[in-house]
Amino acid sequence: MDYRPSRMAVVAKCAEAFIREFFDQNPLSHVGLVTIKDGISHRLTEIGGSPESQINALMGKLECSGDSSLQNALELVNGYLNQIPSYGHKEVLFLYSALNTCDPGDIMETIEKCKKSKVRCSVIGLAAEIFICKHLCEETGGSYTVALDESHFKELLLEHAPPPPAIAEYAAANLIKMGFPQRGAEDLISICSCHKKIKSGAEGYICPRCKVNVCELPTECRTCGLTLVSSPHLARSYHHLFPVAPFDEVTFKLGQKGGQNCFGCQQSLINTGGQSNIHVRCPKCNHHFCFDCDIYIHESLHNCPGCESQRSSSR
Amino acid sequence: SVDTACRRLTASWVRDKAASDPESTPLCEFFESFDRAASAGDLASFMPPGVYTLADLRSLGRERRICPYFLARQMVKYANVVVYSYQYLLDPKVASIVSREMQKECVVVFDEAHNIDNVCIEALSVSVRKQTLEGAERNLRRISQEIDRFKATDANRLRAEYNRLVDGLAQRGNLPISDAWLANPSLPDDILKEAVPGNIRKAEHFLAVLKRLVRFLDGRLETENVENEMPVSFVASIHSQAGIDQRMLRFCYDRLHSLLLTLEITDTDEFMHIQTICDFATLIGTYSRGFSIIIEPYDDRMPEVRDPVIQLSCHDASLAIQPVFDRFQTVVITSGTLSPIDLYPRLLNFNPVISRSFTMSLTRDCICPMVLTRGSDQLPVSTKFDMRSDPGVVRNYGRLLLEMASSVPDGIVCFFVSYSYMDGIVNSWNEMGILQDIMQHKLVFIETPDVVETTLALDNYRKACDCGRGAVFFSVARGKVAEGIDFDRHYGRLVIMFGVPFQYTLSKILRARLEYLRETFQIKEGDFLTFDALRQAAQCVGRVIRSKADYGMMIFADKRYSRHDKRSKLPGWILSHLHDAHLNLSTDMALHTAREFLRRMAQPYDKAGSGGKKTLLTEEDLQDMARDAMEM
Repeated sequence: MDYRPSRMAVVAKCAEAFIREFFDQNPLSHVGLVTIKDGISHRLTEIGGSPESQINALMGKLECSGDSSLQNALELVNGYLNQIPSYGHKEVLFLYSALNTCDPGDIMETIEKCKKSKVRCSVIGLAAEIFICKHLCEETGGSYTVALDESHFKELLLEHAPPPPAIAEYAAANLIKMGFPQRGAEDLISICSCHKKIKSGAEGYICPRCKVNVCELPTECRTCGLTLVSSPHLARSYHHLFPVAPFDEVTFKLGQKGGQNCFGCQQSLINTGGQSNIHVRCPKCNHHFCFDCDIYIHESLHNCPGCESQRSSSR
Repeated sequence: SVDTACRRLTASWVRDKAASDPESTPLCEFFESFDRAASAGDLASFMPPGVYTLADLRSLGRERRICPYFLARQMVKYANVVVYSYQYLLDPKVASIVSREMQKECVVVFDEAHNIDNVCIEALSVSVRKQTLEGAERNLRRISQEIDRFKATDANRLRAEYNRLVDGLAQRGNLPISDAWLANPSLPDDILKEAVPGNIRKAEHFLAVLKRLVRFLDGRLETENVENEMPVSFVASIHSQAGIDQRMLRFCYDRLHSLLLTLEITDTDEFMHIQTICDFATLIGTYSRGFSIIIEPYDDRMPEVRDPVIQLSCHDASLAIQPVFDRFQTVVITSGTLSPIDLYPRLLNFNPVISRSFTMSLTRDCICPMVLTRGSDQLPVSTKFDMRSDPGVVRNYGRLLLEMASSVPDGIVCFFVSYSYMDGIVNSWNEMGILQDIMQHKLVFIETPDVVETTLALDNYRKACDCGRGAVFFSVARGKVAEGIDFDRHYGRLVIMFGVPFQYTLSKILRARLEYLRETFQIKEGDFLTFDALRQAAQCVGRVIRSKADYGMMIFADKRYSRHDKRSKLPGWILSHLHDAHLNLSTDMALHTAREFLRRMAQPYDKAGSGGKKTLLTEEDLQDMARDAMEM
């Protein structure tokens, strides 16, 4: 009934899957790991943009013992996240197995502090619903769920990978300096700044500002601190900020002009046999789509072909 | 006290004196403005339409400089809805002052009325101890001093009273509102409206009668054996030994009240002792059936200490509530734990027009009652008297609590059958080390007979639950906490009822009452005791759930709960959730059920039930329903 072989092992495995999925959906984000042990919280890894270092720490031997203190963890996290610039969205996800919290001070004050610094705290519980976790999530705008079993836990965890919906309000409109490195020339040999190994230029990217070699993107240049990304990464984050509007359901009326074929796949929308012909229509460009294209557009493509193919600038 | 101080400023003779001599007699400004408004018929302007709690009344009084207490007493007549405690309607001593002018067309609703038979019985019971008699003797000496003083200075007053009594007025009719503090202890229909008998009209004669009565009671208290008498024989022995007949006894209360008013006594709490004696006398003089007098020289629990007491205990709950049934056209008795429901009409002696039992409408099973009959070692557990001190039972109970404390978040409430049992078992747990293990998981708080201590403990318990530390609260099944305090939401995720909370079965009063019930209503003793125990248990466990979004578990930890005669007496809403799979559990099975329940209940819940059946109706739903009903 409980998690096998041990809660820690299951959580570590699911966390690894989560980190991969998270970086897949949010290539520009950073993740750090914190553990709570014997009432004190320790920083396991630095906040960084590379999934490999986080996963390596998870695969290492993780022990658990003693009481848990939610307040100490929140204070630690708050301290780190305060250094993040204001255009960044700050979030904490607790994987909480204890049924109480043994705090040195008033946890309500700490929750107020988190609320003021706009840190969104979510909790996934492994045992039962605890009031203080619920309160924390409600105050900071996070979500609190309790897992029924292993597969449910993985499902709940992966739900946190896409960014939360109300993200646009927090971000102030700022100019962020980013670099778009190019691949180096074949015959260029240099030492990469992350592993300190000799690499050919074609295997890495050249930072546009300081010209050092970096192995993978997205990353932060170690020499000059510039954020280095490539355009597909930006595009993948972009669709979370500006999602495609949900399509309206319409039924086919006799005598209706146009709308007989799906704009996406050109298949006929009129169902022979007289069954109800429900299909969907984009509210912006008024093109009709079938259900399969609807699912594909919303989940994979993140762009409506009808809107993209319109030449008008007013959108 | 507050009462005395108020009376010193507002009694009618004080105000008369102030009219002639305003300098030396202080008056109450608030009462005076009340009196002015009342005589001008202007009270309604002070209380615009609205809903007033006690705090609202106090702030209104402070703002408008009017006495909130007398204003409230007066406005009870004009209010549409009045919410007050049972005694104001059932106890004759206060009901005839406060609720006298309620009209017949009122609807009376007794809420949480599962204990209504006990309230009715206590309203008509009196107990007299050594302190009462000594206090009564002091009061009588003081009264005789006052009478001598009046004879010397203002003999007219005493004569006027004598004449009034000769004219046949036993009661003084409509007294000014500030002069009536307590009324006759017998029911309004039983108060004789005749002239007071001749031998107690004169104040000195009445005092002599009271002195003889007090001496007689003193003599009865000297007895070494427990005595149980019917009122008739007691009255007969008073007559033979003290020379006071039944009619004189009946008028004791009225005569005393009149005397105290004549003598212009303001510090009424000093005279409570003689008032108790007169209440006692009036009640035994008025009633012959349904009462008994029990004299106990020693308290059973402390046989060395001599603490004699004469108890006039009422056994018939229907006496106090009969006037309510007769007077009002609609009376509703309701409660969440009124079961078995057919016992109440028998106890209160009435024929219900409608008798209905409702279940809860829920979209998910938010309560999980379990009957636990054995520990992990499969030994049965119980608080039966012979099994109580068995170390195996104590250890099993301790382990049950420990396992639950480590698996249930936030607050747990435990109810024990009595203070002495709770003390004993907590001591044993401490010696076994179980208490220390429990404290690793949660903080422990305990209820004591002291109100202030208990309030403090409850406060800290709630704080501990709020901040995530978690806490366990030990309480007693018939204590203050079980009667009034709610442990909803995270304050009570689990309630454990350790044992079956039977009353102290060796108490003489209880025995007398059981015998009376058996003879008059044909209710078997075992049935009544079980019914009483189970309504108390149901009341205790019902504290954890107070709304549809709430959830909680209940464990009945005693092997006797698995028997059908006990289980069937639980209220319907608990029985409907008590599945067969949750009967006869051991500790580890209960733990498994608890864990699964908690995980399930932590999933998100849609309060309005928009998914399947609706449990929270909106206004449109009600209008639809009304339209459907009209069309049919």
